[in-house]
Order: sequence, then C-alpha cells, then structure tokens
Amino acid sequence: MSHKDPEKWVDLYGDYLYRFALSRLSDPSAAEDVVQETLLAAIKGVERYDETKVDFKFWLRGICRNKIVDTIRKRMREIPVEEIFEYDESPNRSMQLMGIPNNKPDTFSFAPDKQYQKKEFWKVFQSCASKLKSPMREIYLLKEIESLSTEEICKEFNITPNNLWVIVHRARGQMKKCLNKNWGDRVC
Amino acid sequence: MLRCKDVAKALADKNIRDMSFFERFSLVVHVMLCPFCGKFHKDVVKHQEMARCFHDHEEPNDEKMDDDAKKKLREALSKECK
Repeated sequence: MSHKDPEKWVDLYGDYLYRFALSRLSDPSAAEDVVQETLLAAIKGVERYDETKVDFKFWLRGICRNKIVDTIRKRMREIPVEEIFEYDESPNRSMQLMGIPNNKPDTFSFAPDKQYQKKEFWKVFQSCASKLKSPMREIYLLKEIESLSTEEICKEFNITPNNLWVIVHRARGQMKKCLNKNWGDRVC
Repeated sequence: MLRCKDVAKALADKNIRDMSFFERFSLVVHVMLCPFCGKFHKDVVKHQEMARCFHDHEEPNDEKMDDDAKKKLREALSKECK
C-alpha cells in the first residue's frame, strides 16, 4: 500500500517521475519542480485515488503529465508573440490553397516502426525534440506528444490554426532531419 | 470523396488514431488514390505514430534525480503531511 505512505514516495517514484518529466522538458531543474508539484498535488488528492482502477505509479504519472503541460504553457507565455508569428507563412502556396504539397518530403532513412523497441532510439528522439527552437518545441510537445487539441492550443496562445499547423509541419521536418542524421546512419 | 485540402486539414488537426472509422476510411481511400497526397500524408502518419509511441514510452533515459533535490522534496512532503 505504497500510496498510504507519502514519505516513501520520493524513494519509490521520484526517479521515475523525474525521468518522465525530463524526457518532456529537457531541463533538469524544471523536471525537479514538476516532480515536487506532482507529489504535493498527490498528497492533496490521494483520497480520490482508487487502487482498483489504476496502479498508483500511473496515477502519479497522470498528475505529472498535467504538471508538465502546465509548465510548457508557462514557458509559452514567456515567448514573445512575434516569435510565434514568425511561422505565419504556409509551407507553400499550393498547400495553402488546395492542401496539395508541391515539395515531396524527404524520406526517413530508416523504418521508424522498427525502432520503437530500442531504448537508444528514444534517447535520440528526445534529444532531437529538445533541439527544436522555442516556441516550435513547446507546440510540438503539446500537439504531437501530449495530444492537446488544435482549439485548446490556439485559444491558450492566441494563434490561428494555420499558425499551429505550420509550426507542427516544420517541427516534423526538423525532427526527421535530426533523426536521419543521428539515428539513420546507425541502422543503415 | 475528400478533397486534398480536407485531408491536409484533418491530418494537421487530429491524430489518425483519434479519427472515427468513417474519417479514417475516407482519408485512406483518398491517400491511396491521390497522386499528390500519398507520400506526404503517409509521412505525416509516420510522425504521428512515432510521437504516440514516445508518449507511451516510459523511460527514455537513465537519469536520476539529484540527491539534494530528493532531500528537499522529502522535507516538503513531510511538512505537508503534518
């Protein structure tokens, strides 16, 4: 009954939550803050925890995920608006008018779905995501990894869906370039 | 039948796994038949799938929390428990 003894939570779940937060935020100090906020929130809400529904570790992970999203939101508010509107242009005219891409995307130099079981691959993925420039990194994390809706992100940051889609499109392009360079060469 | 623009918008807006059966079916049919969209949209789906797997992947690194930070956190928790 580990959930009944908060003083043991740091030893039992501290590193697990820290790794999870670090993989999203790429900032040790922000990850530590998130772990602290998670465990303090868990103390307040532990009465609502139902052990028949979910393992305590995953319950904590759920809280941690919300705290990570809050941290990314706070970061986003600190980004000057003009940096978001740097991405105002659509990738190309035909895409803007018809949704037809006129540039064929570069291909992955490896089969992504064959790499998912490899721990090293996710390290490289995480490192590539951390190299994306703000606010592209934050938007990519919220939209692609944490699956926040377009409406939610646009409302939160006062940007248009078009801005958002362009940013995500460019982030994917940069992720692919980075993965091809840092992972593709290893497996080919 | 969806237009290219609808497909681009749908894929930009939603993960293909969150779409209804009908939305997914219409999209797949379009992508199979459209000479413009095929490669581009298959590529988007690969990215979405990768991001989803990263989301589910639990421990992509071996880092541990700093001992001092753990100590402070233990203190904060025991203070909160009192």
